[in-house]
Amino acid sequence: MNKTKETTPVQVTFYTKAGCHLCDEARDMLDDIAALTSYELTEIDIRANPKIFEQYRYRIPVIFVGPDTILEGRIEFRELAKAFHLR
Amino acid sequence: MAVQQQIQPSYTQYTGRRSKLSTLGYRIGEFIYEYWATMLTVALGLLVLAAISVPFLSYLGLDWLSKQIFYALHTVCAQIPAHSFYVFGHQLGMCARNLSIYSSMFVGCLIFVLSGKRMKGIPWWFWLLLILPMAIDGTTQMFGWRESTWELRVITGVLFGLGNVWFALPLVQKTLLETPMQPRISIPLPPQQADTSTETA
Repeated sequence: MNKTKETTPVQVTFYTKAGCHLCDEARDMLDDIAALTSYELTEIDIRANPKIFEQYRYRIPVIFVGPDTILEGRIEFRELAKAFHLR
Repeated sequence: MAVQQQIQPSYTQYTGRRSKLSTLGYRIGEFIYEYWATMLTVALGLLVLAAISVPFLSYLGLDWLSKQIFYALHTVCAQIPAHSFYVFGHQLGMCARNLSIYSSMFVGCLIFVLSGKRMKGIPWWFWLLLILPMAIDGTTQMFGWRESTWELRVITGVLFGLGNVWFALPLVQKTLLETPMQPRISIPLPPQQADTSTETA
């Protein structure tokens, strides 16, 4: 008898902007994480909303993993993996 | 006598090979001796230029180049976004502190070169005094005791960069001037063989 474990995927919110090199790097890391575990990604371009832009313009890339983990700026892969409980 | 005849050809062969290598080494040494400060200035200038060029290249649509420079500069800077300057909405290749350090080092080196490498150095205690503000600012921020500002990062970075250059470069130049350069060929010839070797050459 097969037991299938139904788990809700982790909600990930990624604040980014075109021309942000650190964001490109963080995006590649998220792709690498996707190969290891499943998650639901919401990508937000900070320029779409002036309020969000003011809040994150000097902080991006900002990644919310789940309800309480925030990673920002220069993000290391091990930090991201740890946020997904992979390491 | 038989021993002398055996030694002589091998000696000529040896000096022949050595002279080409030693001449090349001597020329490289001479070049570095003469232009070491200029080379350092150019290297620092290129580093600062690279850091400043990143946002401009992004703005001009040369993102592929801008990205490579930005990634390469990560070897010398942590590039924390909140600690960096932005031009046209794009982050510079280095944080405010590192940009100030390398820029002031570049300016200091340039002044040293333009002074004909005659700039007088500073005593060690004054050098310590100049690097101390950055040590305090950086350490207290690193341990999370307080958060620095961009003004403090720039001021302490400039003092650190200028202090290092002002202390180290005159000292290097003084040491180089005090050290005599080696002659081109350092193998002394035995007096009885001097005439024979001249004929061979």
